[in-house]
Amino acid sequence: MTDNTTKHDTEAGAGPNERVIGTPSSAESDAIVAGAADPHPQREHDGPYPASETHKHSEEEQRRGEKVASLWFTIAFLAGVGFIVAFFVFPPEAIADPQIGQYSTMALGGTLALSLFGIGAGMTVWARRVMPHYEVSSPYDELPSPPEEKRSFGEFFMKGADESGFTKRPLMRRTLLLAMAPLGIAPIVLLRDTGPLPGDKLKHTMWEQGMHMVAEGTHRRLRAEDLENEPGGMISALPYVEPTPEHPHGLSLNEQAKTSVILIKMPENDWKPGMTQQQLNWTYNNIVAYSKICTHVGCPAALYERTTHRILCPCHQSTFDAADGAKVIFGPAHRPLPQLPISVDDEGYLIANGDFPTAVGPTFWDAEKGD
Amino acid sequence: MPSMNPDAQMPRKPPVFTQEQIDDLVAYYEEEIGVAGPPVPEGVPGNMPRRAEYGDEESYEEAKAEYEEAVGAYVQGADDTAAGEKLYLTNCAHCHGWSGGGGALTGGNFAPDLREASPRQFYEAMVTGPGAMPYFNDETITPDEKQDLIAHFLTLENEPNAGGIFALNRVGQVAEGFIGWTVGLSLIVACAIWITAKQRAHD
Repeated sequence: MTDNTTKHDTEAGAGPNERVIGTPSSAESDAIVAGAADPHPQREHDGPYPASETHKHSEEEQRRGEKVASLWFTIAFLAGVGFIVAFFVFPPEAIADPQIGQYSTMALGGTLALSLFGIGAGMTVWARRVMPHYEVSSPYDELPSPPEEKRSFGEFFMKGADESGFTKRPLMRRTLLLAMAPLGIAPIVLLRDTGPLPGDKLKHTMWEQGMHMVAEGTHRRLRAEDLENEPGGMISALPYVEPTPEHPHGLSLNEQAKTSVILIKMPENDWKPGMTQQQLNWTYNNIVAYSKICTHVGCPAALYERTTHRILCPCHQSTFDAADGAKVIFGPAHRPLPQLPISVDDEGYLIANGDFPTAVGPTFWDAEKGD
Repeated sequence: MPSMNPDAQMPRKPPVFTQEQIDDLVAYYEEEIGVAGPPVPEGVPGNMPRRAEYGDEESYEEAKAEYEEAVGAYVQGADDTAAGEKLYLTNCAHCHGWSGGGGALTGGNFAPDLREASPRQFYEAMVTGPGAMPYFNDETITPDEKQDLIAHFLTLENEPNAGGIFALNRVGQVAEGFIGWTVGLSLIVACAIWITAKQRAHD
């Protein structure tokens, strides 16, 4: 507060020529001041407002403000009525058609926005052009209580404690505290129902040794030679599971979300030295399988550029280098995409060589710790 | 073609060469350089006829009707557009968007808008992988599945756009939300500036 006042004082000289966005131009404000009804425009005051504005607006100015504010309120009223009309003009069965529903949405949203804006704008005009501007100070009392009040309260409290027997009769006091203890612990005990604990569920998927792969969206098993002749090929894949009546592709949505991988056929010379021998062993004939689920918050990261070998996640632009063990090269993810060890069976079909070595999906508290 | 700047991705432009010239160019390339790419998918309806290649209005209209009929038959011939949708969503939609509007990639590259592509261009892009796009050959996605996928996309195209007067070219929910958020927030900030202007004028 002191700062503001000082600042105001020092800048007072430059004041009239400076204009803040949203206020009338200096010519206009001069006119307003000139028309002021206050007979003592330069009288003393303590607040940051110049004396010329610590008085009421002139009657003429107030009337103008009233007109503008009422105009806004009338617009708001009409828009509000329009909102109700729009609600009934488009019955629920009509807006089921998106071609009609779009106009309903537009009419409801437009009238509601105009109505709320009109009320706000009218109130702002009211405050700025009709209400007087001056500072009112309402000082607080001292915060700490006076010593005599503290003393008398202390005496009164101790008297009550003594008379109730709380200090004198320990058996009663202790059994009361004992009675309360289980109730205090109860909320912690009830946390059990948020369980059971996830165990190692988050660290495993249903991929296992020997499982075939299908192109996601089909139920056709993929062979290594399907990707053979084209370094730069890519396909989204899922484990092959016998169909059940409930799940035509054999997998629940949850299982699909966890097991989804992208298979990329890498040009032989494009592997980066960062790939460990183990990671290279997990590939088959330069085909590599990475989890499709971003390690940041679990979006499907599959924007693969075959020229740069970058895998990009569309949600937050995490970028992984497919030629370098899906190492993070940009963005908020901080863990590489898990690589699925793959191989082929006797007939040349691609198979998984076990589960992902690390947890798939968004990173959690102990994702990087082994089982 | 020709590219103005070899470092930037080429935008879609009307072809300068006639089909005959393109065929000659391909024949020359295969003869002299010899690395033939995947064959042109002749069974898939080709490109929209161009007015410039036809002498009179009538023959152009005829060719156009013939083309549209071929596309219609191709879409009708798909077995399972629902399976095509699944393939589109799992392999194409990350880059090209749910509705095919395209999107940004890394390093100034972008996935182009698919909505002007002919079925054959669709097919050719999958088997040749233009630019940074990976290949989807006929073994990983069979020709029938490609037909399902293309048919799904063309059917999607015929869905009416419910964007109203503020339609944003179907850029997708996230981008639309972002635009709504920035525009809305700017308006709110402008209002806040207006409301507090008098006070700040004195501070």
